[in-house]
Amino acid sequence: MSNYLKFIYFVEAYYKFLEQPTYPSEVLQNAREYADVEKTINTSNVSLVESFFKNYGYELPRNLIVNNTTFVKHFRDIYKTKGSEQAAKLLFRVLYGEDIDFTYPSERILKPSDGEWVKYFTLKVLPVNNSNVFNLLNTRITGKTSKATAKVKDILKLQTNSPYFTENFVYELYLEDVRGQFVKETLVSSYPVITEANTIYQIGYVKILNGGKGYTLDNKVNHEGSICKISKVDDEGSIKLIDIIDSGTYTLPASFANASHNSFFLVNTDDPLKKIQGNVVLANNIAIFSSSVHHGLNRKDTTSLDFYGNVSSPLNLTTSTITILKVLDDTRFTFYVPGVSNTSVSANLIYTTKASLYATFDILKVTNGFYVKEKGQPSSSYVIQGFLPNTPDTSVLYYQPHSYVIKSSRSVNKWRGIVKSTIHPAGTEVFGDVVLETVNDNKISDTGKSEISDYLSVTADNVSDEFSADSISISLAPTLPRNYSKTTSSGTVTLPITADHVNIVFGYL
Amino acid sequence: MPQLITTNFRVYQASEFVESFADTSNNSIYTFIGRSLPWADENSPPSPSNNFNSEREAWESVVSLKKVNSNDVRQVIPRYDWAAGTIYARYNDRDTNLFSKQFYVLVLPEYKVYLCIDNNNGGQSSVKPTGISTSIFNTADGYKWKYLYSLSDTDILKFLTRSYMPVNINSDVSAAAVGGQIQSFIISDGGSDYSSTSTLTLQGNGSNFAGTPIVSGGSITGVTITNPGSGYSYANVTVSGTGSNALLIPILSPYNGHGKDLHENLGAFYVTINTRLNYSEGNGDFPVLNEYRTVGLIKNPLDSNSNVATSTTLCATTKLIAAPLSGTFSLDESLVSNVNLSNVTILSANVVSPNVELHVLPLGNQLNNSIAFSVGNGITGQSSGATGRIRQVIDPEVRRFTGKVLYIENRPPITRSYDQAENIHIVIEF
Repeated sequence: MSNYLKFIYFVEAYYKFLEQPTYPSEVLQNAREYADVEKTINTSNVSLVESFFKNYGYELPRNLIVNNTTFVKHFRDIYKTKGSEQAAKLLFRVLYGEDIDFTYPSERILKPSDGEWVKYFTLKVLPVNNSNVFNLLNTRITGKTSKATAKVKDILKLQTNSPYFTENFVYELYLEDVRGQFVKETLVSSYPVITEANTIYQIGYVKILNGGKGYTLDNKVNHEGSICKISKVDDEGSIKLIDIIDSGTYTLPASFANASHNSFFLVNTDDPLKKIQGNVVLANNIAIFSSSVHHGLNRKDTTSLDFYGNVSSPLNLTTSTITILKVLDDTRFTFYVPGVSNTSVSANLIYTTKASLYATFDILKVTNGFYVKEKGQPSSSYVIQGFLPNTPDTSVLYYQPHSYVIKSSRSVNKWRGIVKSTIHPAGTEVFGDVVLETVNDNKISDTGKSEISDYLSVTADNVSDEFSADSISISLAPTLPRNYSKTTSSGTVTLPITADHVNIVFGYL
Repeated sequence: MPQLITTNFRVYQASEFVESFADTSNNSIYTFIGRSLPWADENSPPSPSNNFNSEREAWESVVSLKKVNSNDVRQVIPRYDWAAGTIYARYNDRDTNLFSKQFYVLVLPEYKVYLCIDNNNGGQSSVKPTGISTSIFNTADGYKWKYLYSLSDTDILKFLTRSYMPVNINSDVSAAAVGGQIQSFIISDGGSDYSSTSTLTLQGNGSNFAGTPIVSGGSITGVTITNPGSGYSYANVTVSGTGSNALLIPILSPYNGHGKDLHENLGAFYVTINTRLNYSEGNGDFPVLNEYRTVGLIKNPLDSNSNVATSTTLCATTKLIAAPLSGTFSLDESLVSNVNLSNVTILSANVVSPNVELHVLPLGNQLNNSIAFSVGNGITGQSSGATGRIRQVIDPEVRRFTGKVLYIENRPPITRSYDQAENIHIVIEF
């Protein structure tokens, strides 16, 4: 070996030469690292980053990109998601460090039959043998007796103070894809663990036998822990629709022992509240009541009137029960008032009849259907396609199925070109919604000033501006100077302060 | 003197401010935009000064105004989106920092708001609250929630931002609210040597509370509430049986119950004023293609007839309809009349064939409301050299410098565009 020492030195030096950074051997040995954009060679002659921009990103605004390496690293994600929200969000994050939101004008176009009509299907259950009822979530339950099935979408554990149960909590299961009719039975689900629960009764439906008269939406309809609400009344205050807010929890009364459906029990309401305002003119003991709304009465009906509004009328501030003599039309009727003539007085027609409401005990409660939000309703904030007040040219492109809006803090002019050249889906229209949000602290502070002399009272609004009145003083009692002196013919006397006063001064920061 | 402005006072102030917008006989408030000329440092606009001159300076550059209606103003609260793994604060009537904590959540995509009644001793929330039950309910993760309200489409469009969300009153929740319930306890000291036979005794002015202590290792770790009772405005609890030193503090629901006085319950002492500027709305009152750098509020500006303005949009610039003779006028350049020394700035220049419609403002040294340009005058753009002859002069729709400037905000430039709307949210904390 000693004879070839120089050769050995040469070989060693040669390999060291090859293994220098960026030389062939070194590149081959560290190929994996060079594939990483953060560690790759980055010289003016050989630059993966520059090569990327030259070949793929020539339209990108290099002046906006803070870190080219990071951008290249994430560009694959942008490219893979091109045309999607994700791509735009990545682009804005990389370019501006900003999180953006999307909206789609097509979702705000009024379309016939576009309302989302929803009904909730719920069961109330008690656990069997302390089973964890929450295990039923996202499983398909089966009624052991009825064989009815449903998928459990949500579960709520509710406190109950029902007199019919010793348990303090019940579980409310929100169902979808209900098949069959559940009865009083045990439910079972075998996945992920076998879980059983017993169904219990609740108010399933409230039937209006007689809507009564004089009800308002403020009237209460309650029954032993359940809460119902009047959702709709007609002009006469007759109940037209009842919503069940809390269906309560019940065992089936003995009288309904064999029933599960259509077994009604009476639900009470509080007294109707509605009063119809009108005017009464009396002449020769005959009075005519007239109002602007339909009174809903018939001949010989009995009702009450509250009289008010004319202090000279003998009826003022009295309440009388009257009997209808004659119905003149929908808004007027006559009645007899002995001993009172030739006067006019305002009156509230207290015309009420108790409603007859019956509810059913049911296992499965199906709520009244309702529309989710305002979609599909003419009275909503949704607009007709292509319509935008005052901007017809823009709105034709805006309110159409293939437009989208990027909500950011930046003007469209800053990003329109970039978005269109990189991630914008062909055939669509992009709009910008610049969101400017500023939070201003206008908290008030108690200045601690309690002396009236510290502040000059300012009353006129225009004067307030001149004096920059940014404090408010609240005086809770008549104010007096502390040393109130009065000069009389017999000399100056000092009067005691006879009224306590409290001034609270608030200063606006 | 120790003193305190309570949260209720702040909420009251906020609600009074909101209600003032409904008083249309006395209040006509407009959002304005202005200042097309650049700041000395575009990235760092100067702070507005709080003096009369600053108000005048703001008015000088006003380009357009849009009326703020009562439905553009709402009380709002900080937005906290529900996310799995988050530890939410529970409602605590004794927490002086409650309104800076996440004690309610917005659940997406349903846009429902729930109040956290109990957080399972500070555990992470992993089950999204759901439903619209007016009852307080438990979820599988041990959290206890109450549904408060949902956001409507209009709420979302106008008032939901990344930081704030509006407060709605849900009539069902309000009607079902029960005041003075005890739904949770602060375990200040769990004590020691307690057993499963330990019981709770509650003294207070309400009724029907029932609960049992949860004992672990001889210490009380919680309370199983079987009946929250009602009507409590004060309550003390003692633990009977073996053991000692336990200190449990009941958390009382608000006097009228959760959801009854929702603005107070949630600390809605923020107000958002939302103004949306749609493209070139107002038949050109809001010109596109130029920039603005100032946003503000003006109360009771006068219209061109010297009445308090009520129109939805107002143009604050003078419009010059000119027949172009040569060249193209540029934005923000000065325009001089060949007849007199009048000198204005061009805010927008739209070609309305065969004329050009120029929106112009007087320069700073011309603080009157009128511009001394007349029909027949020749005009020249000082930078572009473009020339034209005036065919019509249309005065501003608002008398400049009238009304009271309530709010001025200087911003980096916002470039208006035919495909851009601006959603201005001015949030005021009371």
